[in-house]
Amino acid sequence: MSTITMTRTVPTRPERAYDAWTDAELLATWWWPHLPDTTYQVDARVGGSFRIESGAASFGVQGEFLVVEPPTLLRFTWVWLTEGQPAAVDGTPVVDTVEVTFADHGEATEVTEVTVRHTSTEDLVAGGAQQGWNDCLDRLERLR
Amino acid sequence: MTLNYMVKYDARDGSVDVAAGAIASAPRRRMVERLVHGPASMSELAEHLEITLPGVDKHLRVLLDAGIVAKSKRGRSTVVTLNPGSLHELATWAMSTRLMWAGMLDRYAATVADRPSEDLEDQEPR
Repeated sequence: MSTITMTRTVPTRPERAYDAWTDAELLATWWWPHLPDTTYQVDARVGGSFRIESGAASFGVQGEFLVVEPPTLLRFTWVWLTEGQPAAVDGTPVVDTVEVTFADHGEATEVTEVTVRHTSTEDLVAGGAQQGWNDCLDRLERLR
Repeated sequence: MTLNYMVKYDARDGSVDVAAGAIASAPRRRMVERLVHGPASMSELAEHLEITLPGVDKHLRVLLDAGIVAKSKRGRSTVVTLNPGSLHELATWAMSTRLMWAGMLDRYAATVADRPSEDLEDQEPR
């Protein structure tokens, strides 16, 4: 079991920081904007599902919302899709869990601290996510 | 900024840095992509990339130094081949879930910052 935790501070109120995760239109502005064919289906209710997929890149992610507490907490399962197929190891599906918390940043109401906690039975440091590749190359290019 | 941090944080040794530097160039990536399909001569690479032979040589040297490709003589022509596995560590690093989230959250933060609250609310469906 491995967990990755990452935090970003965003200059907006928790409600809007939260909406950017649950509203498909807003999600599309930042999730995979470099993969324009990506489709976004998000039903942010407990038991509701989401599916984000790029046919061009042949990958995606799907999951089910476990906890939906606007505007402070989202918890959902996370299953990688490769060419539409859910990730599996030796025939057993790999179901990760992702928790996103939105916290008021002290007195400043227009600032929200967003924390992503991704937990997997697989080794998250060694691999699993395909997505980083393009980002990585794009960023490297810009550094030069 | 994140990238610099990540490189220092995750790379166990210099090989990721070297490989990343070597392919941080569109012509060199196209060269690698061409070599995935099999060995090529210098002039084939020049034709493929639509650059001059000295240009190929310049880029090739970077890939050679990084151990990504190898050069050998076949008769009078030079054949360039890909070194299998030479990009493996970079790929492993780049595909890590940590890096994925770093990239996504950087975009998320930038997007939310770019859009004043009102814009988020009033945004037309696309």
